[in-house]
Amino acid sequence: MTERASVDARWSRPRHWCPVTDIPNRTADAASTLPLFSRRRLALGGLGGAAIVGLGAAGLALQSTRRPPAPSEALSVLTLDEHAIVAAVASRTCPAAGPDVPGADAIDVGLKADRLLARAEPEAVADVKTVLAIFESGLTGALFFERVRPFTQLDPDSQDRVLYAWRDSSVALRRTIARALSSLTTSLYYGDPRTWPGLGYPGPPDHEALRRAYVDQLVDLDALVAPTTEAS
Amino acid sequence: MSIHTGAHVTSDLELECDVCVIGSGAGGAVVAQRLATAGKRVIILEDGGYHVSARFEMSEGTMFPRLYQEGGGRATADQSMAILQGRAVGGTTVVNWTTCFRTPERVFDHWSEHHGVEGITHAALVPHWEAIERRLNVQQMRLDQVNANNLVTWRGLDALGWHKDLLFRNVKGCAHTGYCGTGCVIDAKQSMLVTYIPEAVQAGAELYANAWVERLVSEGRRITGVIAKVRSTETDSFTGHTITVRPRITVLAGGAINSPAVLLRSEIDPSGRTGKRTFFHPAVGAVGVHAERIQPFVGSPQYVYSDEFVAREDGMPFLIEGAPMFPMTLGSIGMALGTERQAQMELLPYSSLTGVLGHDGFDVNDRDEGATITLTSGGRAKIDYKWTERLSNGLRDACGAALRIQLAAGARQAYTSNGLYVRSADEIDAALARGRWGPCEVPVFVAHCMGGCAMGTDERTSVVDSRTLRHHARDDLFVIDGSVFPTSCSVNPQISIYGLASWGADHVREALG
Ligand SMILES: Cc1cc2nc3c(=O)[nH]c(=O)nc-3n(C[C@H](O)[C@H](O)[C@H](O)COP(=O)(O)OP(=O)(O)OC[C@H]3O[C@@H](n4cnc5c(N)ncnc54)[C@H](O)[C@@H]3O)c2cc1C
Ligand code: SF4
Repeated sequence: MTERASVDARWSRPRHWCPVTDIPNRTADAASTLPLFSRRRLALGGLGGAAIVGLGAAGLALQSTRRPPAPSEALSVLTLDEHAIVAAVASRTCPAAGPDVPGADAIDVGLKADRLLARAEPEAVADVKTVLAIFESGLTGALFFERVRPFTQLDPDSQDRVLYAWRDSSVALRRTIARALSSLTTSLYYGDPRTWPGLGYPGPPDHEALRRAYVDQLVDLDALVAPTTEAS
Repeated sequence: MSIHTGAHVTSDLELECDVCVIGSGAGGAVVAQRLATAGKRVIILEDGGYHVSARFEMSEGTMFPRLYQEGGGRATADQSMAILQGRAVGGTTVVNWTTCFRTPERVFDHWSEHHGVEGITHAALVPHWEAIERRLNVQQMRLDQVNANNLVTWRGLDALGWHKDLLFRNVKGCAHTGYCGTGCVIDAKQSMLVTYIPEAVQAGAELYANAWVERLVSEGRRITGVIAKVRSTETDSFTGHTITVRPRITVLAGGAINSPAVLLRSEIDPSGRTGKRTFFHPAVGAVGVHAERIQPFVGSPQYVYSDEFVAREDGMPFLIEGAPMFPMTLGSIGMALGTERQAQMELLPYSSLTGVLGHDGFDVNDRDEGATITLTSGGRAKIDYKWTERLSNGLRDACGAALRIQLAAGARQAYTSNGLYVRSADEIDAALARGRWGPCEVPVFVAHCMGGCAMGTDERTSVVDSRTLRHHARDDLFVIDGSVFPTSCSVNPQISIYGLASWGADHVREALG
């Protein structure tokens, strides 16, 4: 079998590669009008050092987290507050693609983060928890003259401003935390098949059909495994 | 003579053998196969699970947690570099993109001139490479096979008059699905999982998957035990059982980052060099948005490359390659947030990526130390990359080259992961000058982990003896994987590591007598 024949026979068929949503208008025009994004900068208005002193640091640190609806399944490693922080960040880093595509809440990125962390080393889980606590805290926000309320209690525009400010900060630690939160939430969101139609990504081909088509070259890897009855 | 998983190990085990190989990736699998087929009693301990192609699902969200270190979330401590590295029987070769290069001669010359490397040479590896490339069916791609995504890079290189060529790949019966990064479901990729590991096992090697080597126990210059903690196949947490192996020779092949971590946990670090000079081929690139559908997720990941900037002397050299895009990795790598990111993502079918691999570790004035691996209090590897001006400038120049290629190939707009958007080549310089190039200002993607147990002849500056790959401080310990490179190897590393491992296996055999 030549390589080319296999490409043509199996992969040029529209059944596999025609996206579910064919985004008909997003061709040359869309490409030529892709907006020239500019980095938004946080314009700090209204918050100053006096406000921080007036409110008292301890009080800020203790302000409560606003929780979204409870996750559909019990959490394994995150608390409800931590789940809420992930959910709040995800709703801003991953807005819904359109009316037919679920947003981060519908995908429950917070629950996905919990499931991922359930398999992680305890130290890695502790790191994520620390990052969530620092980012959420009104105290941290106040230290940077940014906000006095926890992140989850801000309105969406303010949340965006905070995220941009941390991402573009001259303080390396803030950029680190923004990066950690952004990659955690976006990888979980865009890794979910429900987001793919909105991206014109058809998803992977049917792997079982592929294995049937290439049965002659498969290696019997299960045959190498020791019998399950083995008492080691 | 078989593969055991964590589920098989229901009590503590004490095992004896000629050679205990730690890690089953590019280095470990080749060594194990060479020694097992020579009649040696080999035990392989692998931290990752035994994931077979029948159960690969071709989805990043499902497969990354199964097949990658830290579930795909490994990164430098400051999060400036996202690090993809395999963790499975077969190691990173299970998820790699099948691009094949031999280590260039100029790299060996550099190692010999600046890092005291003797013994291992380009010429010494040639016969090993020839045998391995035959076994792994390494072949050059043809232009008529190249997918739309890589053709963009090819056209751009052509229009600019820059060097371009077609890549070699280790595949047999490849359907050009593009899903190499989540494991090949049809065993076309000639990874260690379907080649050298089965051969080693059929020749008598015993492989224990889900077995994380915590430490080596030493007495003087000898290793008296290799201690592994067994993981649950279900939850990946430790079951409480241990495997203790008492080998005549130990071969550490956990890959960069992980091999130094084993040595550090074992307190084998007389020179203080363990974990130092770890290199990553820091990768950036440019996405072009085209009028026609590109579907950068269709077709093999990589077909084309350019050597145009590999010999540059006025900054970090870099290698240009076509590269694929899938939703999860694309979605998580860039700096864009919210609607900006979503707009980029929605143009995925019209997008093409030109990738660029920076060559780190080559600055002779030593302003280019790469990463240092240390241990956290829990014994995990902590990765700190020393971000230098040379790196920042190199990443800027690399992004500039990739933007030029995309635009020369007809992109309507091209952008970088740090949010520089251009529509014509004359906008590029101003955009690059506007850009910020520090840690977490330009996201860096890492797929090639090298160094940290540098080979050389001077015990004060290297960890492993380059004449044998034996550890300077232990007579019966060899390190045989990508961690022994004194710099990055400047090309995609798998063939370099297979060759080095096959060469190293001869020295292990010699030591066994
Ligand atoms: C997405 C991706 C694409 C790539 N594409 C290419 C490509 O196209 N061409 C190319 O040449 N290279 C490519 N590479 C890189 C290449 O595959 C690796 O450089 C190579 O496999 C490294 O070999 P190694 O032996 O050093 O380590 P690995 O292959 O990583 O093997 C090390 C093994 O040791 C195990 N291990 C680690 N620590 C322990 C421990 N304590 N106890 C037990 N086991 C342990 C690990 O789980 C792992 O399985 C790619 C890498 C990635 C991530
Ligand atoms: S591109 Fe080829 S080698 Fe890669 S996963 Fe698809 S069939 Fe396998």
